Amino acid sequence: MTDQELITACRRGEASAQKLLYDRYAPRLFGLCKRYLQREDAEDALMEGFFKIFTRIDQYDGSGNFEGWMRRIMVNQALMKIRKKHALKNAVEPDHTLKDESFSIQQELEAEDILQLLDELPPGYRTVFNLYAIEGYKHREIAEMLGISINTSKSQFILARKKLRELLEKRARKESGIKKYDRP
Amino acid sequence: MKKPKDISDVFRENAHKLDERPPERIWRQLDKRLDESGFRQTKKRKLLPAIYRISAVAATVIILISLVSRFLSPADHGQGAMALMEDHTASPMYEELVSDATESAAVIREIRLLYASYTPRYHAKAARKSVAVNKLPTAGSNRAKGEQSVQKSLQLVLQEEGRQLYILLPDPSQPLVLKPEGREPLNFYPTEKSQGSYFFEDENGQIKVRWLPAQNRMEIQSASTAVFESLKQQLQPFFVLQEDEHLLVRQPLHQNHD
Repeated sequence: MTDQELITACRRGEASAQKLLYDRYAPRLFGLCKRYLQREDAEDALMEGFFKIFTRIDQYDGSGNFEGWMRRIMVNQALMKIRKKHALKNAVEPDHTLKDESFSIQQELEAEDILQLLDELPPGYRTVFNLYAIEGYKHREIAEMLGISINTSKSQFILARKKLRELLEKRARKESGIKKYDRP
Repeated sequence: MKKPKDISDVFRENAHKLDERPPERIWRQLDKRLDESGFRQTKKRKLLPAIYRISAVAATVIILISLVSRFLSPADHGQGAMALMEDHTASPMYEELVSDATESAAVIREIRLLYASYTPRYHAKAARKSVAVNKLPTAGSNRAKGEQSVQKSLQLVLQEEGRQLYILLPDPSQPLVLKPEGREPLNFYPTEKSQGSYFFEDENGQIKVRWLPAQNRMEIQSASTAVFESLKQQLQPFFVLQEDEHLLVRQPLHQNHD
């Protein structure tokens, strides 16, 4: 069954199509939620997000990518969850002296590395890093989504990268040079 | 030796490793919720008789009100209409009301009351329909499943063209809920900065509003065009959204302090 057929069937409220759509996309969208939230909250966001997908599927006009539409719903759901926990209230003030230094690594990251590293970032850094580096939103869009200034969004992103570098260097030291990080 | 990659690229390329099938209970909960929400085919069939039942009750009440008012105030025929003529000669309803002079005065007075609360774009016929529905038990006594919680904290009921919108204002720290009849409730969460300010968001973005209780309106503080359009669609015909003035405006029909 193609996505288009699934969408049409879901619009008719067919339970079997809803299950098929869920089975097809839930793993990817759960992965997305886990990047923003702790596991328990990610599960809640996933369920809320899918409920919105099914109940508002008429609003999908077919002009864009369907998975992209669902991802936007999930991202917004995750952001609502973060906001309800007041996790974004300590947003840093924009710091114009911050420079985004290039930072490269040679290794691949495994799922648990990614989660551990993201978990160690403050919620604001983590959210902006996810939105900008992984989802590909612009700072202007992030600023609007989070109710912060564009410069705050940029600062949070730079600080997130800086923190990630520190965390990876700390790990590298522990692993006594097994991993090497190239710095400019 | 592998070529070094930027940290952002490494995260982006490896993000898929977090993909994981969620626990089975998530689907079970979602499945149950979808069943209860009426967004399933099977539920739609079951809902149909309920719609007929409600329509039948509404029609019966309209007829009863009309008959009772005719018997109770026969001497008042025409006087109510005359009073309206004095006050509302410039109103678009005027002509229709004069032609309805044989109708009971009680009904006509109520039309006038409704008319005074609303914009003049509504015809007497539509307004009369609203009066009749107005005589039905309103949201405060709504016993429909899932709306029990509405009763306790309900403060305002907006009614138009026979449909109702419930506004829940339980506590400044709690969400402000707009519940268009027969639709999903819209939660406006309180912002951290100031009392009376709320935000609503969906997949289209976020809208920030300030609730002005004395004026029964919400002032839009900021909103993206997409979420504005989405909200406008969901709230019609209960609110008038004026993008240029950034206002949500509508007068309440009832004040309920249950």
